[in-house]
Amino acid sequence: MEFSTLIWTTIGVILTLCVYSFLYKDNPFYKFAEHLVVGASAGYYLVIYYYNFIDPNVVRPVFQLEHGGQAIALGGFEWWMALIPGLLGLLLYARFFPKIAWVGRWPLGIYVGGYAGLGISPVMQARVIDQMRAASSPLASIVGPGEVVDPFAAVTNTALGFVIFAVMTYFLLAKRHLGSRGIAAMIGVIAASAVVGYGGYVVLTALSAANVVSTTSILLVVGLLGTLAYFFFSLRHTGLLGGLARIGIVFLMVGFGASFGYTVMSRISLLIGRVGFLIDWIGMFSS
Amino acid sequence: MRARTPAGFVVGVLSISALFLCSAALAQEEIEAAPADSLPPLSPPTSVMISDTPNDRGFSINVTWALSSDDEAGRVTSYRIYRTSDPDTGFAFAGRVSPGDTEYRDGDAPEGELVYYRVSATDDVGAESPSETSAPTQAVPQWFNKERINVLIAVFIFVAAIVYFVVSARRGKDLFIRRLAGLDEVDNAVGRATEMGKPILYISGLSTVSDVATIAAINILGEVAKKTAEYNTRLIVPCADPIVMAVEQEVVKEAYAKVGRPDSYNEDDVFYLTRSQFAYVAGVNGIMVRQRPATILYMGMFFAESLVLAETGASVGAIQIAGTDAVTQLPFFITACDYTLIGEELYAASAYLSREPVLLGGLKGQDTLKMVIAITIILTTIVATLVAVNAIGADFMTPLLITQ
Repeated sequence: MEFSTLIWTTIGVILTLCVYSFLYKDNPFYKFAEHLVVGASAGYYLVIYYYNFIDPNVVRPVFQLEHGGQAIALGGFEWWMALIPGLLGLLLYARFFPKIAWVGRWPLGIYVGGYAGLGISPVMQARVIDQMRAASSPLASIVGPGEVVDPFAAVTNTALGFVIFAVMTYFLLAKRHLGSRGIAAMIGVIAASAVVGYGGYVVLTALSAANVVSTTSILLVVGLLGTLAYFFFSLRHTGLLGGLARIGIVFLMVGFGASFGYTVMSRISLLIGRVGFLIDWIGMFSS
Repeated sequence: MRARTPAGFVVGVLSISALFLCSAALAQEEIEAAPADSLPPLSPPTSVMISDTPNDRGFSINVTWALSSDDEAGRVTSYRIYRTSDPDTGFAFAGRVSPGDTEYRDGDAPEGELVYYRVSATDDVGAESPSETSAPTQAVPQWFNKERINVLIAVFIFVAAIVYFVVSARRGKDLFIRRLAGLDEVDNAVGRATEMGKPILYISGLSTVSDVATIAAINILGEVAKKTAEYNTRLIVPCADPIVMAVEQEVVKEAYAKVGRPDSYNEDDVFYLTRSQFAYVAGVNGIMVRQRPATILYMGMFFAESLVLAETGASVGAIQIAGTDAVTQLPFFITACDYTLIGEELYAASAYLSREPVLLGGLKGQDTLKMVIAITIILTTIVATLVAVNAIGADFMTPLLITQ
């Protein structure tokens, strides 16, 4: 093993232990590591910003230095398009001169307003229209000729669909009136809803040869409408809207719980990676 | 000498083997080439048509053709597309597609210049059979993307609703907004910090001004700064982005001026820390354990650092209120903070706190859009289900939501 590798790895190990010492309490070792990483990263990003943004986008085009093998003509469209944002960027420093500090608001206004305006169309497309299109899926479908359906999957899907329907009915309509009667009332309502749901299924099946209820689609639509109701601010969350909002918060929390577990798992893997780094360092001395 | 004899022997054997293999391969090629020679050349693709790609920013041409008659027999291995501005000077390669394909979108066409195309059917030995040259056309940009009419309609409804509610609010109409527990607590949190004589730490996430959550966080900061100015409580705002820092300095300064305390504003309390994610976390954690703020507000876009920040904040006994639209980080704030604004509650917060007509109008406009979305989803789901069970014809489905 090279001596330089050992030195740098050892420095990494010492800094790792300095950071972990924060688990006990704030101490000079942590302070040292903290200030080192903050200072080094601030300096690092200064250089990155200059060479990745200012130099290729402002300095080289404006001063007609070679950029990408092509020199930009003085006074041309691209030259102005480099100069104007560059000047706007310089205006940010007007804050250091109190008499003209107000000029520094111009580039900020252009920057914030520009981004907000440019964002309208893509956000409307990606976060509203496309999501609506994806959410508008059929709740049931007909089985095609020759298509084989797994009877277990069909029955399970249908049963789950009933349960969702029943729970939704309970939250929307029954809870307000039967809330004080507890679990017995809830079970009664769910059972009654299931009977109604099954009736609906029978009717649907009679209308068209064989339907398969899509539990996923039902979950999607119910969860989506409930979540939308939760984020509706113009009305009090009472009555029907309140019931829908309660369903929405249940869906949100189930989603957050899953996300929490998933992320914790990935954090544990990061910890394992760091502990592995420390163990490898110890192994360096035995090899 | 004994050692060299086997080596020479091995080299000799290898050389002979290589020669044998080469001659065998050549013979094989001759065998394989023989039937190809006997086959007639590929028939070329026909009816090559080109057109400007609609609804784009230029630089794109659509090329279509009829398959070579040898395509079905499996003799065509690919179609090669060639482009030129002058057919007399030869064609340049533009792209290649698989057999069976009858169209190609050339995204490198020169804008505003007449171009010609030719499509060649290619066989397994690389022999090409070119089509006739197409009629010329040119790539031109379009000002209006007709495929986004649905977006225009949605934006129009949204803007119209906002304008209506803004005008209503300005005329003095009382616009109701339901209670948001997390925001009701902001007043108490500021009061608590004042009573304890400790500062308030405001963290506006690690994203840039281009992020909607950051803009919302800046709006909320303005309202929080007004309260801290009124109570004369110190407000510390460490920033991860230099532009966000500049904007936040202006916002806090203006808030202090609005409540008549411009002298209380300390520019050094709104400062740049670093852009690096975990270096920023280390710096903020240091501030938390040394300044021991009574209240910590996390508003904006957060990433993997959320739990580290919130856990440290909880360990110093601060009241913590978080708000973010980062779905993956919300669970951590919910578990580690006292109050959490979920997703759109963050956007509603500034209107809720300030009660300014423009912001209230925006919030009401969003609610109107949500109602339109909910009704549309219910209707389209019903229609999609009826179509799926053959209760109505598929033609009934409106193409309104279908975009590319």
